[in-house]
Amino acid sequence: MNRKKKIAAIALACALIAAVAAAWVTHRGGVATPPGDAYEWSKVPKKLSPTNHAALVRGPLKSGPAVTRECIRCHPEEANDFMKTAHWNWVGDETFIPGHDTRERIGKKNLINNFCISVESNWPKCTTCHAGYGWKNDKFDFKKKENIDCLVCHDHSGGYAKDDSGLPAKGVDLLAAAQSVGRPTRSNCGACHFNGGGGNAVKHGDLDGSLNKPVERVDVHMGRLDLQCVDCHKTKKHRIPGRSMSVSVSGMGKMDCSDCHTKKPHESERLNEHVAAVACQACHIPFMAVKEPTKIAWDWSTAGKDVPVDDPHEYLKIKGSFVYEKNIAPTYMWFNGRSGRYLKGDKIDPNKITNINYPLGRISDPGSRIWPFKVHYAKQPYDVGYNYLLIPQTVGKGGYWTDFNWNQAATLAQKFTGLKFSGKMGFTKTGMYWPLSHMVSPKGKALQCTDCHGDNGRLAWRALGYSGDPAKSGGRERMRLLISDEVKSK
Amino acid sequence: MKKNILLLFVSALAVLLMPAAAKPEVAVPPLTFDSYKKAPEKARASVHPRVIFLDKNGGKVTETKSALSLMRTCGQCHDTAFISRKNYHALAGFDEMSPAGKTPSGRPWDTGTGLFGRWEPLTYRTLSTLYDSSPDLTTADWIRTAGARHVGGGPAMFSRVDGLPLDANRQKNVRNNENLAHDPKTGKLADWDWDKSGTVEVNCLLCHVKSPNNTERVRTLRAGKFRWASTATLAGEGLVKKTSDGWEWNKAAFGADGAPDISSFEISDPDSSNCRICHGRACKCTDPVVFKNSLDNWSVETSGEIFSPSRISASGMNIENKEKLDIPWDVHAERLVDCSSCHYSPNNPAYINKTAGGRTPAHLQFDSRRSSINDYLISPDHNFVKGHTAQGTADRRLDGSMRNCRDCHDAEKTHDFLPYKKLHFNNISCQTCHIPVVRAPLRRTTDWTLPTFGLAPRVQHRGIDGPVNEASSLIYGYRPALLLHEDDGRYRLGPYNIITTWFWTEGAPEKPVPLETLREALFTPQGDFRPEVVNALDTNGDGKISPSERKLDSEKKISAVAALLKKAGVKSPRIRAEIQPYTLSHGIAPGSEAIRDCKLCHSGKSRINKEIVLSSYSIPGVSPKLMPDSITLIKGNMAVTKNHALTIVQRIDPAVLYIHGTDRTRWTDIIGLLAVAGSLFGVAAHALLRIISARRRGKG
Repeated sequence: MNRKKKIAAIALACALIAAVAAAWVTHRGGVATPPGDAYEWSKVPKKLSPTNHAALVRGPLKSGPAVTRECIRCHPEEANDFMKTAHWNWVGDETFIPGHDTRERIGKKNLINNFCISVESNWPKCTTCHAGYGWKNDKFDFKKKENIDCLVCHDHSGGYAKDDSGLPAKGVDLLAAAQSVGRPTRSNCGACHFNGGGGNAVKHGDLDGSLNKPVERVDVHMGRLDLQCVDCHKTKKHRIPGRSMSVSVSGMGKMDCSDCHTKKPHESERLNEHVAAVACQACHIPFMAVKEPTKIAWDWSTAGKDVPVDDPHEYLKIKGSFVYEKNIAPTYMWFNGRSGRYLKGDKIDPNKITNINYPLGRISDPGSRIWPFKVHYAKQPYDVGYNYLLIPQTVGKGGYWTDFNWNQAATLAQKFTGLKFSGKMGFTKTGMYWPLSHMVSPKGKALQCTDCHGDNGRLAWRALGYSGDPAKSGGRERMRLLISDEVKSK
Repeated sequence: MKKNILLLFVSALAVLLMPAAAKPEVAVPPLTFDSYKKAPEKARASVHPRVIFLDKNGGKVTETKSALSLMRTCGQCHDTAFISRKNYHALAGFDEMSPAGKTPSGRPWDTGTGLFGRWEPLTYRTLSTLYDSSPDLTTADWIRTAGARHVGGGPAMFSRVDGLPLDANRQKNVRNNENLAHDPKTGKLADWDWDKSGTVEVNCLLCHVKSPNNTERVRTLRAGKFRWASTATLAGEGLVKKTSDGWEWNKAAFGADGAPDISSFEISDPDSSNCRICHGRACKCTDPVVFKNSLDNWSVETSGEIFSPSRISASGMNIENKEKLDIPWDVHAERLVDCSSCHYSPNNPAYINKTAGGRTPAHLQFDSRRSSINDYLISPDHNFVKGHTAQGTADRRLDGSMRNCRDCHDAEKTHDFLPYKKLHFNNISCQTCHIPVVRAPLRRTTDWTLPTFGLAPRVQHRGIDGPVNEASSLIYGYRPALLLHEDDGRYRLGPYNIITTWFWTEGAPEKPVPLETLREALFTPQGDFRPEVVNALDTNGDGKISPSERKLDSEKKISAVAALLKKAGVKSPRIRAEIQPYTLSHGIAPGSEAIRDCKLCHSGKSRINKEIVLSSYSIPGVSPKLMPDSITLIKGNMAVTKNHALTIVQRIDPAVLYIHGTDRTRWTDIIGLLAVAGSLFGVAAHALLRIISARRRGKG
């Protein structure tokens, strides 16, 4: 064997050893599923550097529509895309409404809630949060591109604000705002979503101003990892996935924790077993309104009384009495992602609580999981003659907030809402459900077994359909409580 | 003019006061509905039927106004005689009594194996023999003292002489320590009238109602009103109220049949909070854990065991790196495992596992034969199953009767990382790795040789930097000592706390010097140490004995105190020292926190052979001895460190347990060396021969 052959033989032997070692290491480690952390991080979008628009945007910009025209100059398709979204139209796609025979397009535009009640007849104030300019009555032109408000979502100057009918507030430097644009931040989304219902933390139990700069105790995703809303609500063609159930019933476009996390994220097999019946949020959002109190009850019937000082957390003459609470345990219900909805004109039993929206789901439905909800109760006006919830005109001339006359407010609203007013109104109790998905605690602060199970557990097991605490009496699978699709079809 | 000024002043005052006066009248309108408030799901009521409360003679307490008799009341359905007889909580070693000096503890003065008859070094109290002329505790004294941790029945009801009830017509002229008791006011012995005091029946309420009033029960026992102890346990339920001279039943709270009508009184199976009453901080609650070290919190003080589902990070205690400890105090408590889940009644048909431990034919996986629920409810066996503990000296025949960890857990499936699984599982208890650190201060030393005037010993704790029970002291935790213990005929390694006790004994047969005698000998009537003590112990010369000086760490100091004891009439005083191990089996950490670092045990610096500090100082000439009834082994060398601490360095005999990486056996080392050297020699010789052979071939 000559020298070259010897070297070649040694190199071959080394290569063989290296190959065998690599195969062994790979086999040992297993390559089928990447380990938890690496897998999860791979789903988190990498943050792109924003394009500096300072040199691209030309001034002067005297009005909102002028800004939009400047944006459209380079982004014409984006405007077309945006005009197909619920953020613009305030109604979604046509959908089947559980409990009703028709397919309808519903949304903020035409629904009733138990906060400020309805947009209809109250446009100037409600549309402060519309991503458009000038929606002050029922004549708003949804086909006019220049009415799109790009800045409300893309302003990075921090100086942009909106006023009545969605118009830019006085004094806003529109050129500075337009030149600052970039990827939406929490503050952009929060400008409307943290203030839904007319103030901070009014509507959502899990979205409020504390999420602008949260500590991880308030929300681990936003506090520890500084995730922005759009990191999870991954947007395509301006369609933003993820829906609350206040204006959406279909369950379409939902997001899930498993978009980033694995389906078996816990070390404990027992905890992973929970995933089939319990939404991640149920344990990982142990409390809502962690830092700032949220409104849990609103009594319109006490409105109109003069008090020495209005307190937005207790009583306002224009709105009535409120109850705010913070750091409260949610209400837990089965939820399959779809919901029922009260539609304008639906008959009510005024002596019972009318649920304006409510989660659909039950223990026997394999697609249902136990979810945490904020429940907001109200006492709001209804038509005693027709037995339906009334829409009063609160805003503007003759509205309730000006003249404090309920009959006049209901009469004025008739021509916009199409709801006839019998002339006699009363107050009835209503409820609204808000599923919780934000304010996720660090895992060390998630609920423990004894928070739900055992003598003082927070879950009402029998109300949920169990015969008792499933830790002792068995879960829905073991107790044969699930009805498969085959059985249902029979 | 004056009138006008006055009017002006009054008007101005009225204007000024008006807003203040008007404000309360304008109220903010409240909500006109409250349906937003959540109604909690109503707990299911206990199915236990109504119970007519009877007295000792079977009369309704509401009519006879007598004390509640639970033997009679519960005995209407349950076999209370059986329950109190098969019950080591009640007997407390009463059924294992021997003549003094013949008990497994080896102490010359012990007469029993349990709370009744075995000297308790933490409290320094002992039941005296019947005819001890200077007794520490007579039977009645024992009930008043130890009754706080005794459920009643056994020695609190029956005579240790003849087994008859203590309050039966007894020979009152016999003066023995069953008919005498110390007068709490004078401290002198006086006759005890059992007819007047009554006896303490097994107190079913302590474990079977949700909120028993143990404070009132203990108060009643200490007052010597033994008959009323069960009644006092109901204080606060609305059924009975305390009067100046006893207890009075609230007739309005009872139905015509004599059974309580109030809904708050519910009888149910015990949960951890019931066990907590005597055993320390065991609780189902998820509130932040806050505790105090004291003998009222027995389990925490002796073994640092906290059986709570609450997270350590949420605790109110000053624990090192607490914010990172998002783990429960006990993972079983977190997973809803109650005390009675493991320590169940042996004839409970739902729990009994007749196939465990190979006690059934090999072909059976499950033996379905068991007591009927009816039989069990009538005669539930209250000798609850238990494990092997060093400190549980009473009723050792039940040791190991409970399910062990592997009866519930399949360790084979969860220890993939662990080499030599079988070897580990056979030789070490699961707790060894699954109680990695105890995060509560626990007792290390009790020194009774120089008590305070209030008769408190000098006490040292482990796992805390600073005085115990002070908020500023940092609890850094304690990694348990690993000792060998007997377990089903073999030795296994497990975690322990070790408490060393120093105390004076006297006479022959030997017995502890009574604390009162110590006080008289060492202190002036004003409560100051006698000059002889000060002269011997005052090292800094300030004329006082500071807490740090209160120790007998030299021959001179021992002699000075011994002389005073002799002067007080103590015969041949000498210091004795004992080591009592306490088994750790609660406070189990989640699997993720269990020890996985092999080097902790398998290295030259193994924790097994690490020095164990017994005391921060030593008492010359007194070497602490392991209690022989503790079923543990501690073999090693005692040493005094540079800091004067007394330590023991354990040396486990490799013949009993050979620990890889830690132990060395000479022959194994020699064989190993020879093998390596032989291999090297073989390879070298082979190579040499080949080289020589190649050269020869080349030349050829």
